Amino acid sequence: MKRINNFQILFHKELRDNLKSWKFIILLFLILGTSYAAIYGAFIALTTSNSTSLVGTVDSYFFLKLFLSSDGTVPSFYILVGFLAPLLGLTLGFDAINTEFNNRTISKLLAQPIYRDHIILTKLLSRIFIIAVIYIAIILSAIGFIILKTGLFPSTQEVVRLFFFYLLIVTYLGLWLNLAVLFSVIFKQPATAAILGITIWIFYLFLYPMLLNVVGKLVNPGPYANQYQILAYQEFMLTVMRFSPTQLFEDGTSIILSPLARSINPIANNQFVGAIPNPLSIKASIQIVWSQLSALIALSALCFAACYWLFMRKEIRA
Amino acid sequence: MTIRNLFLATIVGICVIFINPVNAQQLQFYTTFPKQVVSPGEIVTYNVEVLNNSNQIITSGIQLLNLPDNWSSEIRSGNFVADEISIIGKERKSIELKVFVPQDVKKGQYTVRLNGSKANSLPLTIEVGKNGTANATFSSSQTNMQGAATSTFTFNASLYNASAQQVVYALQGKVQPGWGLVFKAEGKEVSSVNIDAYQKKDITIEITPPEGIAKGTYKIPVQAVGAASSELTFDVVVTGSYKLQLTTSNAKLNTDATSGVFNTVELILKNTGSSDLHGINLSVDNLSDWEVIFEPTRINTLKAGEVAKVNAKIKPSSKAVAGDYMLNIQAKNNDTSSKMEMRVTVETSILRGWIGMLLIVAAVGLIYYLIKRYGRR
Repeated sequence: MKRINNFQILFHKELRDNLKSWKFIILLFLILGTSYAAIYGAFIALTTSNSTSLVGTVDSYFFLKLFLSSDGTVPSFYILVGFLAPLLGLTLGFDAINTEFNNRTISKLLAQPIYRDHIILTKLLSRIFIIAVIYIAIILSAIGFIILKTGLFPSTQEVVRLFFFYLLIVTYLGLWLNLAVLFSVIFKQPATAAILGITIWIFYLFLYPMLLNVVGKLVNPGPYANQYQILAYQEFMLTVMRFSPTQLFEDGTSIILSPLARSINPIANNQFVGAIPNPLSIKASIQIVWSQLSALIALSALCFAACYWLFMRKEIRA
Repeated sequence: MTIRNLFLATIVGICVIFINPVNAQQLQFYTTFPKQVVSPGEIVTYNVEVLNNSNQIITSGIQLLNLPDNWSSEIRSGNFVADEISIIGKERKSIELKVFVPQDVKKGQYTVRLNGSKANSLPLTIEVGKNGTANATFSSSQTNMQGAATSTFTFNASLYNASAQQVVYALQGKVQPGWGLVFKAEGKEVSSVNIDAYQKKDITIEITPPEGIAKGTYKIPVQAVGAASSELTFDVVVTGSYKLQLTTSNAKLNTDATSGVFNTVELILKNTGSSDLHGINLSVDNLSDWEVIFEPTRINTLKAGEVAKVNAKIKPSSKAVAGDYMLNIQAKNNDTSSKMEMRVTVETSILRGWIGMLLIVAAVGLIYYLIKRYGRR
């Protein structure tokens, strides 16, 4: 009984600290502003043009397309989550542990009758909880806005797919958060942890695609290659690209949000002989990107395990 | 001798003059067969010689008297209709008399008179040998036809209106339920035809047997009903129908299959026709790199009404993408075929899924191990 209370007290305190901090409030406005701009842009694009940007008629899977398409000025919501949201995870996590050491509060904290692993668990879980609340709020308010505006109502299929999309967002941001907390355990200075986190973020955002372009030019089979060489080249490039968590996230969302998509790899014509263009079941969609999803989940869990292990073994001087 | 001859000639001459005192100024009709026996509907033709025994030219009108109602007649000389005739003395002329005997005439003797204004009258007797009843004749040169149960039997017939009036004939037939019977005249479907007097019309009768009818000979009576009716019976010889039905044992036309793995579907072949089927082969439309194996691949004999089970082992290409594919399965023999469209929902190989699952389990297991090892310090 007492153990649960301790955990709750720590959890609530972490929440309070984070929600009151300026860096969080600034970032929250940034995330909310860009997200709503992306969704509203997609809404305008979907309702004004009669283009069948993704599938079928305008109102089929409207709620999915809302998070998937873009009006051309603002990137679509899922792309935005892919490159901007890691900043939220990094900001929440980079000073989680090391500030406690720098302020010398950790020894006071540990002097209390609480388990040591409760500290690291509440640090991680409270931040994941904040991320989860922000994104469920964004998604639900967007759906509510569309229902009010158009009178369309999401189908069960759409609701389930959006739920998996939401879980994927939380897992993806959890990965960045766990990484930031890991750095905050490793490095004494919050600035070092922050810079390293942001470096990795920028690396995947800008440098990795640039690097891939260079590699791509080197292994390009040239304009006279046959289709097998081109196919092999494309598959190689895709495999390399998937070493980026952002790419894994984007692969996953684009399949989960588009029921008509049947593969994320290039497809030869003869693989489509006899195929019927009808939507896949959610299970089938998840199976297509299961490698990507499991890689994300496993990576996230590994970072979590590393945080835990390093923190538990850390020497705490009074 | 001369005196005696002269005397006799004078006697005869006086006698002739006294017996036929008017003959000298009149024409005489003569025909070889003044009595003829005919059937109803026939035309009686008399060749009549007209004689002028006098020395002068005689002109006389000619007419036929005592002609019964509905009968008609015609007097011709060469190409001309002759109402009046003029003959030089001691000359003769031949005319042709035609009497049209109607169809609906009673058996018996009918006497008509050929009369002239300056001629003696010639009685002509027409004996109708039998009662004439039908005034319509429905006939076909070929009333028997053989074919499969699925074919259409087309008979050609002609309907003759032998009456003197225009008649509307209703066309009808007695068929069992399920049979199709269509009358066609001049290429159009009709239920009645209008035929002028003494004219005939070609009528096509199309008969379609019901589905799955047993082998055998079927009699189809058809009738033309007007003022009188005429019946015609067609023989339709059905050699039996060939029909095959292909479906699955649970009537579901979709199945799940994993790419690169055999998945068995039980198919059912049913002979729904009335004849036995021989040598049924099963085949499938080519989907690139797919494999479909039928067990057995060939059914030698499937008796009418019987069912055969075939196992289809479907292996989607290992490169097949997730989602639905349409697989066309066909059962075929020389007589008939049946096609089935089957929707195959392909799932990608689960091997990759297990590797991912293993990765997650390993990571979570690591966390569990760490908590066990370092927790609660």
